[in-house]
Amino acid sequence: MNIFNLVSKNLLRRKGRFVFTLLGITIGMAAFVALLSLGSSMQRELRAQAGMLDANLVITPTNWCAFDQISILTGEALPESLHYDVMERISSIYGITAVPYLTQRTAIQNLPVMVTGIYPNEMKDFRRWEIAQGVYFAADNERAVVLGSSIANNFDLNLGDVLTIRGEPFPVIAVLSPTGSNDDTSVYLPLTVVQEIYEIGPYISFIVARVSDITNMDSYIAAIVDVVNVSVTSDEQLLSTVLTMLGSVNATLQLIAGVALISAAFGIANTMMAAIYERRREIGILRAIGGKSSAIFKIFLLESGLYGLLGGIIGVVVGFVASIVAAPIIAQSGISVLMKGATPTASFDVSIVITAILFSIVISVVSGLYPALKAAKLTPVEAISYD
Amino acid sequence: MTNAIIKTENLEKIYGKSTIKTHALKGVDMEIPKGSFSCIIGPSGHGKSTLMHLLGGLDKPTSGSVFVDGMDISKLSDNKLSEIRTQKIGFVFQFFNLLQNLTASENIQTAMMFGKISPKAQKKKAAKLLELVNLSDKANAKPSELSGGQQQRVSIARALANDPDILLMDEPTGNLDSESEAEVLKHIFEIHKTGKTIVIVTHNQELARKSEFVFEIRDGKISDSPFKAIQLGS
Ligand SMILES: Nc1ncnc2c1ncn2[C@@H]1O[C@H](COP(=O)(O)OP(=O)(O)OP(=O)(O)O)[C@@H](O)[C@H]1O
Ligand SMILES: [Mg+2]
Repeated sequence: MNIFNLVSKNLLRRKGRFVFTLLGITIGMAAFVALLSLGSSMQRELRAQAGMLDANLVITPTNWCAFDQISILTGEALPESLHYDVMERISSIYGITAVPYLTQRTAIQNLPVMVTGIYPNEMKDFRRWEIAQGVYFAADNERAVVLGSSIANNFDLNLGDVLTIRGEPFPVIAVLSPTGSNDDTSVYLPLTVVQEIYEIGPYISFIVARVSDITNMDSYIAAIVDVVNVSVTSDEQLLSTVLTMLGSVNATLQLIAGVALISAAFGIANTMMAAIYERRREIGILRAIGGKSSAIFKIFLLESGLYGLLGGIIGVVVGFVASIVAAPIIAQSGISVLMKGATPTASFDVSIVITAILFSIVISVVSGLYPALKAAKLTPVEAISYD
Repeated sequence: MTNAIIKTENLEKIYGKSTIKTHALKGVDMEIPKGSFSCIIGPSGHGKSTLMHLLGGLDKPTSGSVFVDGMDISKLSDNKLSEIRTQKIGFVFQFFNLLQNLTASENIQTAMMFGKISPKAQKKKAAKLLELVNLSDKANAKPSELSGGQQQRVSIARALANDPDILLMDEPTGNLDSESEAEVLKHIFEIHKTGKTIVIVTHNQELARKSEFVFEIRDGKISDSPFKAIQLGS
């Protein structure tokens, strides 16, 4: 016999109670881990997208909110709201290379797809696109489409296929090589063509710009704001805004999981308190045969700690499975624009595993502290005289 | 008596704090010689169990002293008392002596765990002790699978786990039919022959008659008892 042996035998003696108490902490931990891993994979995704934006400045209308800015990272269609004029003026500033984006929605095989109106040549240079198949736009007003690689793959589209956009047929003339960025998930047409078929007039959604000297960022921003009334954000600022928002959403969700964990902790405390009353007599026997009060303390604390260890391990597994299953569902449901970035990439993260299991143990040990102390404080005679 | 292994001096025990106080022991002086076989008898509620708990360091007296092997244990810390219990004293109670979710062997081993005996040695010794009380075949039985007499024999084996000099038993056969009682007593007598000091709280007059020393507790005091003559005569 050792204490661990003794405790594991105690744990299983009331199987129903054991299971329910364990479920409490397991569910709490699973929710916690699922949210943590979803959150971290969303963060990773957004960082990756920001990196792939590969621009130094994002120029948007002054009235856009942070949600709109996130959409730039996650590749959502955005309203046309900058006058085309702005583009001209910014392009004329020395040291700035800018490209316009006009984003709209269409459908392929009844699924929503983003249509982006671009300056064909400037965009190809700016984004360093490679052509996988076909021949890229030859003219700035060609009535044809170029596909991002994921679009071609997912919808099984080939050169020569015809897409109908706003009732008008457009032949596929080229497919881009995969870029790993959101560029892969859009259909491209020349800017003027999009403006025409969507009846938009001389407007664009936003502008992405690269500067020749990134050490002088502030002066470029000043120069832009000087010539047009727009909001200029560096991609770093954009990312940090987005991450801050994501962080606060995550914190809220984790708070909810935290509440679940707290109630699980009380579940453990409750189970342990009940165990003391049931085992009063046993505590007395253990004391009579030589157990010190510190041994009783250890036995009870170890018992509640085991709930944490087991609940933590099972919770981590369930949480990861849930996050992997849930990620695409959340992304599809479109409940939150934030989630869109994270599509199917919930992944296993060792630091989350270790943190979660340790956290679970700490919670359960803390919740077992009071019961263990109470058990240890019982005098042998108090415990023995109990009937 | 100079060879007293247990000795008390003006032992008092008052239970309860404020209004409801029970004066359970009112000045008990007694000596129990090493290696003797003693009984504590007396009417119900008159302080037998209380006395036994104090003798074994399971509780502390309100005043007075208990000496075990010449050491005053009445002022020791809780930890120190636990150590004394492990090393010198084995307890057997009337009811529910065993940990219900452990087997007979594991119950005995648990006591050895507190005596800091290695798990390997624990198993060996538990088997030996079970043999001593004739229960080798029940080593892996849970208490619920044992008769009352068998449970008490396991309890006795457990009390011997750390090889104490003293066995304190509170009505160990109080709950048994006469056949089981005889079997349990037989083992207790055998154990006594190995040199252990035995103190039994009992209502069994016959057992009292057979023992070397009888202490009758009445109203918290040692009283003159009909067995005194035998005690003196032995
Ligand atoms: N833990 C306790 N708290 C308060 N009073 C107690 C406690 N234990 C015993 N008493 C009281 O002390 C007195 C002596 O009790 P004790 O258990 O020593 O009697 P006993 O002689 O062993 O009786 P029995 O033969 O029924 O076992 C009784 O009045 C009892 O109610
Ligand atoms: Mg009693």
